[in-house]
Amino acid sequence: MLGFGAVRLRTDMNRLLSLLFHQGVLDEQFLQLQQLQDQTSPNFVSEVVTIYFHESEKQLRNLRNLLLDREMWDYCKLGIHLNQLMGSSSSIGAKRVRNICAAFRAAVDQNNRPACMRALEVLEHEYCYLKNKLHELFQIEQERVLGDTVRYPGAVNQQ
Amino acid sequence: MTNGSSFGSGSLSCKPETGVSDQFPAGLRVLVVDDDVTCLKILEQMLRRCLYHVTTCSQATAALNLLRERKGCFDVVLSDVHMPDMDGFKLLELVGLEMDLPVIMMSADGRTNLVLRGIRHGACDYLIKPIREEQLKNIWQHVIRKKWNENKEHEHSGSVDDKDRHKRGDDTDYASSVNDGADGMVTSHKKRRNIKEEDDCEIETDDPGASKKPRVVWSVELHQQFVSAVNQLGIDKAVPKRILELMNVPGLTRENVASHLQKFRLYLKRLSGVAQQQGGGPSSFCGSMEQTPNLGPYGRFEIQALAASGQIPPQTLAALHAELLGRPTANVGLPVIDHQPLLQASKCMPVDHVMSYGQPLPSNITKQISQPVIEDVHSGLGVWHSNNMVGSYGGLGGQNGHKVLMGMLQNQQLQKQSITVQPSRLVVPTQSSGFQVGNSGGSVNQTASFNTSSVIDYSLVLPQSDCISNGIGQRSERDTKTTGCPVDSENRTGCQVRNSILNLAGKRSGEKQISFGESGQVLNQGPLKNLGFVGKGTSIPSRFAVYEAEPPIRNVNHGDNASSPNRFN
Repeated sequence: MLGFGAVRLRTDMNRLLSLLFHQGVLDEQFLQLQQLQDQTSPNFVSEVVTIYFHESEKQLRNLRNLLLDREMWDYCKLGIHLNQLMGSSSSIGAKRVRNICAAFRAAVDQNNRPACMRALEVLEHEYCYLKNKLHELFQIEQERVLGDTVRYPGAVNQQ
Repeated sequence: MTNGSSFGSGSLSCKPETGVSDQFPAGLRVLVVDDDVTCLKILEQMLRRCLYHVTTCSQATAALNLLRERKGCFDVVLSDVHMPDMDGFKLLELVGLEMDLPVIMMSADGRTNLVLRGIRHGACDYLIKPIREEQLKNIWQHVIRKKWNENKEHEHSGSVDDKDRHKRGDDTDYASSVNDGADGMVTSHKKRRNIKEEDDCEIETDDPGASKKPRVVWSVELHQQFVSAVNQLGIDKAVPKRILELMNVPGLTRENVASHLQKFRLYLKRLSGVAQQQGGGPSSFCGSMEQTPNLGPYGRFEIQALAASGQIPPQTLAALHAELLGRPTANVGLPVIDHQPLLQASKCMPVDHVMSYGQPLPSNITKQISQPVIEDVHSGLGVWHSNNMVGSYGGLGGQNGHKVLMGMLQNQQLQKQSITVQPSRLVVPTQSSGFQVGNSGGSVNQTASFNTSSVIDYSLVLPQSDCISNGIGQRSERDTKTTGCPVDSENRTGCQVRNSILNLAGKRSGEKQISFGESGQVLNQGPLKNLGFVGKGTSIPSRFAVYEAEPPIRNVNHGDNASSPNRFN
């Protein structure tokens, strides 16, 4: 029964992942991340993603504040924040967020404020979507791990 | 070290590296600097998987402190470009300057200009985020490459006793040109260097843009900016980084500035060194010359040294120099435009300074100069074969001139193309042509009255390159034949150089055609004449006054001069 649950959870996870890949939310960098997860750091992916969300939330806040500040148009700071967001997003394989960051940066370069505002909105939207989906993914993962730990003692007992 | 930083346990041990182990890339000590904690975490894990010792640091300043505290405990540095507390390029600069470690830059921003900037600042690689494990597996190559390059450099500059500072990778050529002044090395390395430099030269003349180490043309304006930056900071406090900031020239790197500063310091040092022997006769000059044989290539310093002995404090000279350097650009006319592309193509160091260095000379030294020059020649002769002399060009005008000449010598074929490149490297037009424009009208006639027309051109050209002329004089007096002097007003520099090249080529090929009279005489006029009008220049610190004063003095000098070739021979 538990074994069956584990298979189901794995299928769910794969389905969700392939959906995210299909939508272009994630790219192969995320797989790299998964490959980096090993015995020495069993929760590597979720740790990294947690850090990512923590940091990028700050970045997004900064971006919004910078854009809403009507007097000061700090082109340089915007660029730096965007760059960092782009760097971390691409590093975890958040492809769509990264792409929007690139578009955002182009708008900043052109000094196009309306385009920047639009980009920020799309960015926030994408960010939320990514966050929800990854959260979902980790929940399944956690369930699976939990199931595994439950199953193993049982397996040991059977022997 | 605040939050976000962690030390790999292995890197704390700080063991001195003992050669290359059998599992070499494993254990490579890597310092990762990134303000982005996400990336830091990922990179750390990736590098661990490569079996490297990883130390991470989320602040550039902290990383710098770490590097300073534990020198020799890291093999390679991976640094982000954008960091809030310190720009990655600054870190790169400082690391390059202090630790001489290979630095790999990384950024999500892969725009060409940024990557270019990284390379110019001396980054050995530039990784665009996302960084993949495969890319990191390979970073050990930079450590090896750096070590090998250093070894090579060491080989070249084995006997250099230049204590000033350790030369960095970029200055390899510079180091070897300094080396030319030292004895033993020259003959043994001559052949190999020829080959090497010929190659370099070909690369650079064919496709200057593609050569891996972009060289900066220290144009008059650029040098003036440099000098004013140095003056602003004070020569003692002037560090390449600050100068670079003050100059604010896009594309200029700390290394360019550092190398230039080094030369500038040498020049000032030399000035002050000789200034202490003030009032000393010619013998003191040649004495100082012999003491520092490896400064031989900096023939131009002879003149400056003389200037210094004429009670001009170095500061004044530097200031004068800056001032004089700057102004001629105002009269730079067409010739400059002609030469500019050549200059660009050759990407050489400026010889243009030579002229202005030579300028502020008191006239009473004009007589002395002939002596030191000769002394210089004699003392150097044992060592200064044609290669050396070329080496002196290198020291003078940048490595490229040197290289080209080497190439020329090697080939013994004076192709048109290389000739056209040549002048820009050696004689350096920007400023000199400015001068020609400035004074050609009157002075050409002036000289013409007592000499053949070909001589005029020498005399006009040589002032700018007095030490070059010394070099040539020194050679030509011995065993070269000055080939015909087809000179037209625009092409003077070119011709002059071509002559010298022909001389050299002649020498190399073993045809020792000796015709002292004309060439020796002609060539020696240069410095003297220069000194003459420069002497005036010191008493009247206006450039225009210098011009006006020039012709009469020149006549006087010419008289003096006529005797010197005899002494030469």
